[in-house]
Amino acid sequence: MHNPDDRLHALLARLVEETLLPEEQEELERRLASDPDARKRYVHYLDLHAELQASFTLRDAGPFAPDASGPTVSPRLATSRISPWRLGIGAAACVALGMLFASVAWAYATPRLRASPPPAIPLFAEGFETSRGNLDSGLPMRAGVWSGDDAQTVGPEQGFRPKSGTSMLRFTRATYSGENAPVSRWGDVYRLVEWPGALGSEQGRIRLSASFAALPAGDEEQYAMSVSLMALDSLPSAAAGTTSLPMLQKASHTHASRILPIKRDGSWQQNSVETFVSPQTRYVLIHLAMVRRFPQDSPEPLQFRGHYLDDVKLEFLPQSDPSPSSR
Amino acid sequence: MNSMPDFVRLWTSHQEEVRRYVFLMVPRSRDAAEVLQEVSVRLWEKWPEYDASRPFVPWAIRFAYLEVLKWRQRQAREKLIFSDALLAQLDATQEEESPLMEARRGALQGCLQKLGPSERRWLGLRYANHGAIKAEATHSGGNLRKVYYALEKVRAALLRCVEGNLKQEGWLDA
Repeated sequence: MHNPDDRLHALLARLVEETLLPEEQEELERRLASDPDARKRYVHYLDLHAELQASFTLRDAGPFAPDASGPTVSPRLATSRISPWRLGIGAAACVALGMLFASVAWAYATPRLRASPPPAIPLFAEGFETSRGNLDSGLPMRAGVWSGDDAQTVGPEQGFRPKSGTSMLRFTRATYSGENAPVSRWGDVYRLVEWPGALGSEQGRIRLSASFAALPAGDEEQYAMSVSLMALDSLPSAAAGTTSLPMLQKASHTHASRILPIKRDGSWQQNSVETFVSPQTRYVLIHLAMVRRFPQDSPEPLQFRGHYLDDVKLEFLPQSDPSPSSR
Repeated sequence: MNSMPDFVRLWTSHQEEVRRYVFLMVPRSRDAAEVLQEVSVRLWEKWPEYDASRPFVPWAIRFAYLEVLKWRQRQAREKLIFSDALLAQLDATQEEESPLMEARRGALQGCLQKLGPSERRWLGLRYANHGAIKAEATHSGGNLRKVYYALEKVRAALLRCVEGNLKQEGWLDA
C-alpha cells in the first residue's frame, strides 16, 4: 500500500535536489496547503537537509567524512559544487558594508573605513592581452595560469569590443572536456596568484575586481556575475585533499564571494569583493564565474553565447595600524 | 547606540539560523543565497533601530520574511515555488516548530553516528563535495535517479531516527 509519508519524502527529496517536475511541485503545494502535518514534515526535512550541509561542509567532516576507500572524485570546480551557503554567508555579511570581509577582518577593518586608506598595491592584473586560445581544464594546481571551464581569449567579435586593449575572455561552456558535467549553469575560471614574498606577513585586505558583459539576446534568460577570493597557505593538492572547491574553501583562511545580476545590454559591468588576508597566506585563488540565474533547469551544461570577462585586478590594501588598541 | 562590531558579532553568530529560515521559504540554494544577501543589507540598515534587550533571531527573521516577499515580487511567476498563502502557512509552522529544532539537530548528530559506511558515503558524496554524487553516478555507469533514491532513503531513515530519539528523550509523545 502506498504510504503518503513516503510520497511526501520523495517530493521533498526532489525539491532539495532541484529536480521537482512542475506537476510534482503542484502536488507538493496542494499537500502542504491542506495538511498541517505535511507542513511540519516540510520544516523538518529542509532543516535536516541544511544540517547535513552544515555537518559535512561547514564543519570538520570528522567521522562523517566519506570513506577514504571511496572513489576518487575528479577535481571539479563547477561552482554548482560550491556550497551556496558559503557564498551566501560570506557575501551577506559583507554586502552590508558594500564590500566583503571575513568576519574577523571586519572588526579589524573598521577603523580603516574612517581613516584615509594607504594606497592599494597591485598584485595581479589581467586584460587577456598576451595569451590566446583555451584555458587549462579544471581547478588550478599551480600558480600563474588561467584554468576552469571552457573559455577562450578572443578579440573584438559580434560587434562587441574588449573593455580595454584588444582582447577579452569569452565564456564558452559551463563545463570542460574531461569533466563533461551532466548539468551546470556556472562557467568558472580560476587563477592562483602567489603571495609576493616582499609583502611578508603584512596584514591587510585583498580586493578583486573584474568586468563582465552579456550581449543582448531575444530570450528571457537571466545571468549573474560572480567574484570570489580565497586565501590559502598551500597549493591545492591531492595529498592535502584540496582538489575540489568545497575542500579548498574549508582549507582556506578566508573566503569571500559576491554575486550580482548582470544586465544583458552589452555594457561592461564591474563586480568586486574584498577579504582579509592572514600572515599565513601564500596563495590567493581568484574565482570568476558567469552564471545563468534563470531558467535554472537545464538538461545539459550551458553553452554561453556572448558572455565576456576583462580587466581582472587583484590588489592588496595594507592595514595602516594593525594595533588592536586602535579599534 | 548599536555598534558595527555588535552587529557583526550577532550576525556571524546567528546567520545560520536566518539562512535556514530563508531556505524554508525559498527552497533553491542559489535563490536563498541571493535573498540572504538582501537580508544582511536590510538588517544592517535597520541596525540602529534594533532593541538590544530583545532576541536577535526573531528580529532578523521578521526582516527575512519581508525580504523573501520582496524577492518574490521581482521574480517571474513561473520561477516561484509556492504561493504567498502557503508561504505564510510555512512561516507559522516554522515558528511553531522552532523551539524543538535545536533538539532535533542534536539528535541528528547522534543518528549520523549510527549510519553504516555505505550510507555515510552517499551523504559524503552529496554534502561534503556537492555535485560529486553526479560524477559518481556517471563514473560507475549508474543511474542518477537511483543515486538520488538511495539518498532519499538515507534522509528518511535519519528523520525516523531523529523522531525516535526525541520520543525516547521525552521531547515528543511516544
